[in-house]
Amino acid sequence: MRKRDIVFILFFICVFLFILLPHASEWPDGLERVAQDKGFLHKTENAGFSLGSGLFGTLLLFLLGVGMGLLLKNKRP
Amino acid sequence: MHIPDGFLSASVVLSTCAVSFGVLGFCLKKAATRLKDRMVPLMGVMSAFIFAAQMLNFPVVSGTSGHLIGAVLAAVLLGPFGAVLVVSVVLIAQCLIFQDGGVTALGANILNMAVLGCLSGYFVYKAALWRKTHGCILFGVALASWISVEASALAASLELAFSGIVPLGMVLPAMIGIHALIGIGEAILTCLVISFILKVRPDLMYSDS
Repeated sequence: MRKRDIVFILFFICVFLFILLPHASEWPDGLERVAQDKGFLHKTENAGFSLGSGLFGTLLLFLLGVGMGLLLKNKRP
Repeated sequence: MHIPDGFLSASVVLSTCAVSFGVLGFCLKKAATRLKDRMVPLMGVMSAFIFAAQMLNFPVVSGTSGHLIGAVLAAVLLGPFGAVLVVSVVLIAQCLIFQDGGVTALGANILNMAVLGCLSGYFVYKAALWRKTHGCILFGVALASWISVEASALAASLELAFSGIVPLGMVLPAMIGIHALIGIGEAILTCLVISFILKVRPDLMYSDS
């Protein structure tokens, strides 16, 4: 994977988030819904991501992932 | 399917943590022996992609949504051990930085989505791969994606039931039922990404050799 490809993919993910995040479903997910229906949902806060945290997280996770890859590379026997 | 704080009993918290972090240590060792140089940037890209994709909830039935877990997507590209690590990093960051998923439930969430999701998914994918045609690969990916979501839902149900928060007979059918639908979404999204990769960069697919 060339540097140009990586920058392109990250940019693509960010654009995707920018477009799709406002349209992401606000409904509870499968587990939350079951917890609601079966009456064990004690007031859990829904995280509610903002676009800012999404973009920040995407770049952060890229760095963490590469960092882990480099760590593994150093540990390679 | 991120379990929040307050759902799990102390014994379930401790036992899931012990299993998860034990498996993570094993995966770190195994992944290091199988790592190829080209996988280093791919681990970063996959972490970023799965994090972003997990934010995008799609509606499944009225009043319920689901999101991609990405376990099979990661496993098909990074192998089972690298995938467990990547999905775990995403879950750890979500939990500690973005308050998605409980801190006490982190072990359980890693066990359900990363460990069981990736390993069960990769096993099914390999078992379904009797020919290396694109159609066969995509069938394996779809089946593996659906089963990985159901495996995670099954494990989450067991953890909730063992915690004494809800009887198993009540939570299991509900979780398996709703995640059968969410699993279809997972299968479709994973197939879309993999079919794109098969077209443009088939060399990125993981192989044991």
